[in-house]
Amino acid sequence: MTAFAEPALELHEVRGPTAFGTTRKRFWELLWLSSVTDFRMRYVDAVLGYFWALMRPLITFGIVFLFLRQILSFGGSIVNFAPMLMLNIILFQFFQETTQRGMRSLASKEGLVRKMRFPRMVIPLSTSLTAAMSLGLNLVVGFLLLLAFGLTPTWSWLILPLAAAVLVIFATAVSLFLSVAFVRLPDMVQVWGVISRVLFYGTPILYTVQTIPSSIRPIVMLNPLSPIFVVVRKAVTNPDDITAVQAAGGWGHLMIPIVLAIGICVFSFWYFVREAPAVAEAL
Amino acid sequence: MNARSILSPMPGPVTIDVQQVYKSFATRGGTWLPFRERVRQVRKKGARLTVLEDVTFDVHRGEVFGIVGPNGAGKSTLLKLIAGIYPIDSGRIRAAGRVAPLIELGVGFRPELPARENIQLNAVMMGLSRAEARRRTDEIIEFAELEDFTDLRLKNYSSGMRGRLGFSVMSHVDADVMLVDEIMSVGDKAFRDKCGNVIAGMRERGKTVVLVSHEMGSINRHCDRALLLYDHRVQQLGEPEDVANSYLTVNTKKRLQTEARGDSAGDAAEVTGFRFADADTETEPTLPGKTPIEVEADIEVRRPLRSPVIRFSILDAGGRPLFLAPPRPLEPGLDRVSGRFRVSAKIENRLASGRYAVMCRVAEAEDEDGEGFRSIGRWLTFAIESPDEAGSVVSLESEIDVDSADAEIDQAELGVG
Repeated sequence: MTAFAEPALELHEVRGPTAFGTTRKRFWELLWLSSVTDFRMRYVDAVLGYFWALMRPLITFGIVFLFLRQILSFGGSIVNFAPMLMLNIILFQFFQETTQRGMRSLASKEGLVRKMRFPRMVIPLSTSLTAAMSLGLNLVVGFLLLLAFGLTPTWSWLILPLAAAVLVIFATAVSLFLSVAFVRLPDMVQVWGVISRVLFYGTPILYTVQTIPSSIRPIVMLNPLSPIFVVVRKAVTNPDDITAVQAAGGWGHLMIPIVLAIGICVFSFWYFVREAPAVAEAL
Repeated sequence: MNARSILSPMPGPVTIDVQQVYKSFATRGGTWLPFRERVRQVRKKGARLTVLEDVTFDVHRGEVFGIVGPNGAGKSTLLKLIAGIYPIDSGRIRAAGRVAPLIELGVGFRPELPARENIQLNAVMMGLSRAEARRRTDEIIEFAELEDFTDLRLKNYSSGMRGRLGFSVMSHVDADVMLVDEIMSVGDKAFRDKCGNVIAGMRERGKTVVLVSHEMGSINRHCDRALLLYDHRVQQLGEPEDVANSYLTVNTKKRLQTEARGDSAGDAAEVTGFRFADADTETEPTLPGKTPIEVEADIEVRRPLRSPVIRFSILDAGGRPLFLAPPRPLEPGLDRVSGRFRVSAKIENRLASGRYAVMCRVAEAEDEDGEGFRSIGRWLTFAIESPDEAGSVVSLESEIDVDSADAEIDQAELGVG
């Protein structure tokens, strides 16, 4: 064993897995590859493909709309009720699916996590990225449907992709937390099921903030998701609706959900990075 | 022919350096616990199970290094620590270059996708860039001999094909250090040969291979050095033959200890002494083949037992019984028996070359109502040296005749050319 063609390689410390791995290039390559593969597998390769990704929120919208409008006669006084409901449901369903899939992401890839070394954060992030891709497509179809509802596009509609991006970031952060929390505590499924149900009714999705009593409004506006839906409502389906600042009762009050959302993002990120090295053995 | 004999003894630079590594895992309690206990368990830091203690060794460039040890000794964990899949508790691990673990064949394959895409996904996972992965796809398919099945979804592959594909990806990722866990045993002979060739090729190119195996044959065949893990520690480090031998010894010891104690340890009866009749004090004698095995045992029955019997048996190196002598009552006709006894036995020996154990223990008579007494047995290991081929278990007389004239006629009649 004397002379080998290549020079001797330097020893490097083996420190166990981390959230990000060793090089940035590898992280992004893996993230992109697994997201695209997931997306293709879920939609392109299914018989009706992307059709399903779109139909789920639209069917939900149809049912909710019929139920509220025809049976409960609710929403008649709300300007552009149907398009608002459609848009809100597309957005919220994205949030719900991303967090639910994200929660199980690490556990469902147990084999990979326990037998290969790669940046751990790729797994929950790729789940979110896959979901974000279908959200993007859904919003394009949603845009066409808004036109079909007879709405005229304005410059303020450009806020919609921005609001969607904020929602994607928030949903991803929550997924990061849930993915590790679920490994530690399987009861998270039940807990998160309840919380996301509360969020569904506690966010102006089926209703607008204007239609609820002003005494409850500040409570609804504590929810970090609420400002996103209020902003989208004003920007797209009813320019005359109140602003998020008005709904919250001033900038000071609006800071509460914003700080809460940022806090949740920072905490989730920190928690994931802290727990990532040990997650393989906790599975 | 062993490849390592042609290598010079001068070791290359260190490529894996493991220093005083400790590792333990958190253990979880049983599946069912009262609510309050569950809450308490979640909150407290649970008990930890030690897996590795003070493990130190290094591996050099161009070396094939074996890790052996009984189940649960920590072999796979050690491999995962070097691979960076688990973090270590304390100590230090360093490695040179790209480390590629092959803990299981085909980890991360997606059954719904065809081979080509799985290869690229897997190769990127293993550390190649996407461009490199794309360039090598054809080579990988060719090496796996799956050219005709590239568009088939992986779920339609046989497990052998999937294994071949997994190994093929692994051997094309330019690993500087390859960590292989017990995969040689899955495939057929052609696959094992292929694995062997890849390992030999790695050695030639000055790469490093760490091989975990239960098969002492492949450890002996491939490795330059080996390490025995036992009770979470490095028990031995050295020549593969020596380590393989020690492994067989500790493995036998472990199995025999469970065997000799019966279901649970106790002391109603005990074999207090056990030796070969020709009174040599040698710990593990080598006996000639085809000569009866003669042993003597001292037995003490401490409280009156109903018809205890004595049982002798011969076991192979893995602790599997090969022969169980018929039970012999200690004191026929007596209802209750206690006291000290000396027993001698002569057992016919048709064993082939290899390592074996002879065991003696006291048991209940099978036709009686069991009292469930406990007894402690004893065993002796020995080796047999006889001229027959290694790998067989018994040495039997055989006569083989070949009549070549008949064979020709048969072939002609059957029309086989």
